[in-house]
Amino acid sequence: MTIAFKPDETFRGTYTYRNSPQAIKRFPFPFHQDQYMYSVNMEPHTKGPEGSVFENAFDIDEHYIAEMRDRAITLERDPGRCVSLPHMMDAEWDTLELIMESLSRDYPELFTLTKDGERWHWVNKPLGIDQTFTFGDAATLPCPPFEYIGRQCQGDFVIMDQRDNNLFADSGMITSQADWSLMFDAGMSFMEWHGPVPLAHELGVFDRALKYLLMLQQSRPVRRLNWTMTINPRLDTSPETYPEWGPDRASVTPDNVGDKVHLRVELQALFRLPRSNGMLFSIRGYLASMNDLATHPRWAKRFHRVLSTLPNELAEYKGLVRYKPTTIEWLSKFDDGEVLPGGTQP
Amino acid sequence: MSTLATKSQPIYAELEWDRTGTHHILFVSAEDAALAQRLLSNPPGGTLTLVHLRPADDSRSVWSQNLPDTALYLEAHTLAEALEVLRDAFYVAQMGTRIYLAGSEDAIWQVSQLAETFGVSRDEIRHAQLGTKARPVFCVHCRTITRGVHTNIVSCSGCGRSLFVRDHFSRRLGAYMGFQIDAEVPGEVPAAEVAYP
Repeated sequence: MTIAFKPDETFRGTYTYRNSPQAIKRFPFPFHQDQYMYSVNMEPHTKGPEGSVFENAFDIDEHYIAEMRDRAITLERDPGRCVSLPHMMDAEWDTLELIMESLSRDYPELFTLTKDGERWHWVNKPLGIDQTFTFGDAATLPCPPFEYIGRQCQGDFVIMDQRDNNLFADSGMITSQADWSLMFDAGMSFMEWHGPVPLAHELGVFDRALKYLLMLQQSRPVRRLNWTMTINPRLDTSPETYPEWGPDRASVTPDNVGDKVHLRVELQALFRLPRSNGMLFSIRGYLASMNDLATHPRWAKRFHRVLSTLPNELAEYKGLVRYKPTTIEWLSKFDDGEVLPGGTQP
Repeated sequence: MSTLATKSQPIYAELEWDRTGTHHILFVSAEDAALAQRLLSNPPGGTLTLVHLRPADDSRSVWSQNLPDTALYLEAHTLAEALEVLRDAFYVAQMGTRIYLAGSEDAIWQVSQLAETFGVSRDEIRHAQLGTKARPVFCVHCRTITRGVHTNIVSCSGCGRSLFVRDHFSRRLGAYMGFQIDAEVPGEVPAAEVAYP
């Protein structure tokens, strides 16, 4: 499959990001039912249908080049978005290896990796990168291995260190997050890191998730979907820059809902790393405007019902309170009350 | 806005000696007669070093009375001075050392950070909050830590923004998270209330 990249799109200022009809069709709409509640919704991250976001270990799509440019801008403004504690070097190399091997296997026309012992040759055609380096020797790369590969793969990344029967968020490349701060959360245990999430602790979601993850085996990654909403197609919705994008939440009117309000879905995948026994957590984000959703009537109806019944604590935590009523009102014109069977298909 | 639900917020157990240790370093920065009595009347085996942060006056302290004869007692009058003394203690610390920190969250987590730079692991340190409930607050926008915060909203000592003080706590930074409360509608700042006396 060839990907028609849209290298000039922007995720700030002019916000020229748009989804093609094909991108909308493969959008990982996360709602099986008319109501939403947290669950340990993990499943094996196995190869999904051709063309779907589940086809490959790391999904590359039409926004790849533009997203990588936006990441570079964010890192330039704030190098603290890439943090790695000193004991994580083995896990950094593990991550570089996993991503390079996956991308070159899954997208051979875009990425190639050739190995001559520890001497590796990496070619990234879309970004015009051609690098020869020695695996395990950070001095042979222009920056540390995790940052190097993180600048070349869509999605945010956290590497968790496993020790004392717990997982610690000890490395991260986070430039498109749903309002959590790597600078603040780096080094936290699994429960601490997820501390602010409402209701889920009481449901035992994180206890079960942690137990499950501690047993995660190599070559058997798992995935789940998570979601929030974003005003404008903005990737950098970090707490650090909240003063820049916070006012957007107060800018939604009945006339601009379709363009401005986006459903933001995270395809989260977890991979056991071989040398370090750490775990790579990839958080691959997808943005669809309300206009995009409305091109598939089932999705508009379903999302109307999910938003209408969303518990207040969740709306508060996800930051939807200011524009939720306007959005529900806008979506209501697509919802004729038809009974929808379970499932996420368009 | 529940407080106990936030799992990153430390929960302090009743301070007890870890008798599997062979060397013990106790840092205290507030008075608590019952705790002092309980700990000092039944000291652990092995060496005990007490680093005491207290005002430079003649007042009597519950911590300097009833000290076990063998304990090493070191007094400091500022947190900076206490951290210097503790740095030396951690520098010479051996296997089997256990660390106990009792005082304001600001003080005990700064000491905790220092201990971790010497490779001390989390389960070798015990924390207890004594005295003021004031919070150190990390501004997520400018990264300045504003110390001794008693209110739920505070002006950042670095950038001046009005920060809401969350219950989300970072052990690595030794501080709670603060973010601009009026980012969505500038100027919409509720009155601050004393929340951490």
